Amino acid sequence: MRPTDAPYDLDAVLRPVAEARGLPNAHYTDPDVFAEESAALLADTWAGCAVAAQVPENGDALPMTFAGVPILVIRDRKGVVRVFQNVCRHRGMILVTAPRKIEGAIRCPYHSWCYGTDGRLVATPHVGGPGMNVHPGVDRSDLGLAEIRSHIWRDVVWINLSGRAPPFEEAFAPLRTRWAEFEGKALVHGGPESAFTLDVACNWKLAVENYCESYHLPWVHPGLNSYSRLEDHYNIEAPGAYSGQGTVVYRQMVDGDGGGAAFPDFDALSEKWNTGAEYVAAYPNVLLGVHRDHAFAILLQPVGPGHTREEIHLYYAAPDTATAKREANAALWKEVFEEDIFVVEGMQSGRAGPLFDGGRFSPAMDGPTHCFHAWAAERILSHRSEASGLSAAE
Amino acid sequence: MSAPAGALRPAAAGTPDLPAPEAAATLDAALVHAHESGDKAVLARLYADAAARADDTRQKAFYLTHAYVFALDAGLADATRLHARLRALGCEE
Repeated sequence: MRPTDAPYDLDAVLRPVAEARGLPNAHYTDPDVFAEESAALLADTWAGCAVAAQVPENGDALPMTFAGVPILVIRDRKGVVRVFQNVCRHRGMILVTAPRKIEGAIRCPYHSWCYGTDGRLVATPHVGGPGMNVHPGVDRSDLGLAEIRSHIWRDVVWINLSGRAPPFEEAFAPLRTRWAEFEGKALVHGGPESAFTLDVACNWKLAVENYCESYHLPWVHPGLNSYSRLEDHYNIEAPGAYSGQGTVVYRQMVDGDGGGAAFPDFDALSEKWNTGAEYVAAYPNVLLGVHRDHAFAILLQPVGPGHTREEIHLYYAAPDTATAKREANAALWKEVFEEDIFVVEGMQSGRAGPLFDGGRFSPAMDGPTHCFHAWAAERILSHRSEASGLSAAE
Repeated sequence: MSAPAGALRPAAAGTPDLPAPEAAATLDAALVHAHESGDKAVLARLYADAAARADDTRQKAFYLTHAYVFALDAGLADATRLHARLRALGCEE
């Protein structure tokens, strides 16, 4: 650290919002901290890695790297979405390298060990010598694919890589309670025209931070603000779980100049949702939006300290909505999310300034961002404490 | 990597009008072509043909194993039958 560098102080992040500072620069730029956060914030929690709509048919397989771990999201023969480590139990070969349908078995391209779509090891060719496919030392029942804890909620495939998080139902109870009116309702992915990806030159946390506050709306999204004023928004803060913003003046997209058909509503919502909408960052990396007639999920895929892929999926209450209308809605949201790119990338560039000390928050407007920072700082400090305890015990 | 030496001999059916060396060469060429094209169903059939031509049980099991693996990979109904044949030879569980 140079003499003029701002001090590194995570405890300052935990102070009340009026006194707190934001996370220090290293949490946005340093590869070692990125790796540390991958363990503490992404692997040890329930993180979103995909949506179930990306594997719509039995046998569909989607390989990816998440938090540095090669994983395979697959819909098995019975229609259950599962997540496995995408690694052969024999020599550690990557099993599936591109999205595809598994017609029969997942065959390792190296020595052809074969796995069922449910992860069972079903064939070990020549393992006992040429033509002998069994050996007393190789117990197939012990050598299935390593399955990663997963849970589907709001079509998002949530995974807990470390296996140490509390049960999903427990971890997500606060948000599920908040959005209880949407539970159990049909959530229909809008199809190819309702999915798009944005490649952004920023740390994934900046996308969370920008998403969950409304402070920036009048400056960055003047189009939205023409009818959705700052004072029509409210902060949402659930420490340790999620934060975001809500609006009380949501207007449905209709055909023509008002009066035309809108998307169908989700069933039996209360009056609150007639003009209400909420946008919540479900920690760590999923940004959710709910409205009376559509919803979306943004999965933040952390690629590197300064590189994030945002994968956006839009959902509707019914399967038979008009394609052109869905396209228009996706275009509207894409424009909004693209308007945010220059700020998240600008904040990333700003983290190269050694005198930046994490920043001071608006106590009135930045509560949701501070809520996320405090969650992150607590988890990182706990992770470090655990790591130092382990090393002291060695 | 290759099959066990001397594994292929002409089958009674399939290439009846070819002398032994030509029939084996034809099957070898077909296998190479199928591997290049990645056609698993054809690979399963050709390896089953090779098993039918094999001289001894070990060679037969070797080819049946390949037929089984490609049938399994491709999700072919034949996989069940090939598995049963390997079990009967004591080569599968």
